[in-house]
Amino acid sequence: MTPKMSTNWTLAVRQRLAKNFPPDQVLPDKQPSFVRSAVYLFGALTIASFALIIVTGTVLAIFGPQWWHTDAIGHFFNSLHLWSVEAFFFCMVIHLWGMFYLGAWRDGRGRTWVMGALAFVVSIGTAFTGYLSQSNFDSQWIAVSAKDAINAVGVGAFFNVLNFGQMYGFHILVLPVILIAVVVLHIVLVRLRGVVRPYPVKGEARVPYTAGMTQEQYYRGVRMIPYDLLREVVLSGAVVLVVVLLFAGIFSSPDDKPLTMQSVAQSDPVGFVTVSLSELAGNSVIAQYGPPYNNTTGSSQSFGPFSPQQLAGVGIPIDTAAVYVTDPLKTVQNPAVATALRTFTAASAAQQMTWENNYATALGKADGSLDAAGHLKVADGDYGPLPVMFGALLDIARSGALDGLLLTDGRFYQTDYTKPLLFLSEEALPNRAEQLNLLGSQWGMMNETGAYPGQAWLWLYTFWYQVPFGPFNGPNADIAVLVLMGILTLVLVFLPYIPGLRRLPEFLGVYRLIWREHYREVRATMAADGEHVETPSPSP
Amino acid sequence: MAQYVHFGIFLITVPNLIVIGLMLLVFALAVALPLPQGHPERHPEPIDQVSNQHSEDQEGGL
Repeated sequence: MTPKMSTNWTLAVRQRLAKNFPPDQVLPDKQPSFVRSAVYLFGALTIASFALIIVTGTVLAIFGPQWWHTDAIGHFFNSLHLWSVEAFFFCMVIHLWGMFYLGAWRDGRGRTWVMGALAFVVSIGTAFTGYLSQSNFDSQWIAVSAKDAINAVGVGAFFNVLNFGQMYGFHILVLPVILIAVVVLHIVLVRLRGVVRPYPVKGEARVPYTAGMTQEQYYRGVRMIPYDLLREVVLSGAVVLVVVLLFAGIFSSPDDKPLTMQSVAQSDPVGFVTVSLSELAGNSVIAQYGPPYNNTTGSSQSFGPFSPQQLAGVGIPIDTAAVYVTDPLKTVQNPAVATALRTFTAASAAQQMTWENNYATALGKADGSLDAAGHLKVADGDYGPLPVMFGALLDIARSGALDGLLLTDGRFYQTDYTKPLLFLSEEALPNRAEQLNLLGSQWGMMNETGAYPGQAWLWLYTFWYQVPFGPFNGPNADIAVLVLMGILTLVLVFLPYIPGLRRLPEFLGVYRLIWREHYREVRATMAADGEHVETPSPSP
Repeated sequence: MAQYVHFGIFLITVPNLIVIGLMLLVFALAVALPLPQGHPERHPEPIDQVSNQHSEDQEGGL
């Protein structure tokens, strides 16, 4: 008879905890003998790596996102954080492979698999926002590469990868909280239900699984061996710590300086003015991008007739002529510049276009040399007020003032770098990424600056961009890849509930190698009992 | 600066390829290499109910 639960809330919670979390299952000192395989170690190694990520990430958060760029100790902690992440994914992927080949979701363990797979998916998002929060060139490049896919599915205005403040918040709070909750649930389910039994040998006598059975009942007849959970966790932590310390000490971590409007204007004045002119003329990539920045359709993607990007509308309105040219020039305290701006604004659209085309042609032939006033030298021609306007714009960009002007919106604190990053994405960032050999054929999403491994766990996402046919190689590639990966992710998470697919491990047969000692014991026992012995095989 | 490996439609940086290759190698070793055995203790309770059927169909719901 089930004891009656108390009406005292505290007592009721205590009774429920005692009933649902028996100490010998939460902290076991025995485990089934078939668990003696190195494949089972990678769960604890993943948890140990995760703990190290939290510790190093907390230290980095305490000192702020700029600390590691300027302080040797900060840089070392960033290296520890980076290599902890690499260790975490390394161990988690092996753990996931192992549990897949063992069909670990059998016997009522579907939810355990779902939580583990969700942890993998949330981890990818957490790591991705971490790469965006590095505040160096790598984060700039990943942000502008990723924005198209995020915009294509219509969430670019809500989840703006160019907004450092938002990505940092997601990385250090929102996603870690979700990840910790999912990981804890996964561990609790593993501890309460225990690991799944091996696939049965034909003729093997075993207690059939029934929903709600205890571990005592589930493992009845299974040989148990001593096990020290805490020792395994502590030793795993020590192993991961040593490996991460070694990698951080030997290989450190990359930190290429980010590009700024100032650095681009100083190093490539022709490129800077040419892009600025296209922003004024409205023929730049961003000016014709479409949602969430404006109502054009240049980079708008659709899945058949359905375009979530168009449906989401303009959430981050950007008038490129005003944002990048005329508004910054209005701040210049120079009568000649004010007059030039008035002349341009008062001119007809046809006149403006003539000046812009003439100036663009002249810029194409410019060698980048500057005159005594610091303005670009171009051949004589009919450019109207443009040389004065772009001379002044180049001045404020080279001084560094434009970087500030593009961030300010009348308030003091700024963390949204959407405007300067969109400008830099036109030419400067792709050019620099090409110099650093980052492009590849998937635009470098999983690459890291220097000779470092990047987000290798994104390989299946980026792989599709390399398929040279179908929707993956056209103007709608981003939405096609994200929709496909969304479906594949759902398949991974809900694998235990998909008929046919959930029996795949039986047919692959890798479990026979992992549990070979167990099957040897079972065969020996059955032979001793005089029973007919067959190797495990897929059910009909 | 990372170099690339290009085979067929696959293009990947050498560092990323090394990481993925190491994962496969470590997984293969984890499957192949035995762990030392502990001291066995047979579970004390007898088997009071036996079956030969596979338990795959008895998957718990979400």
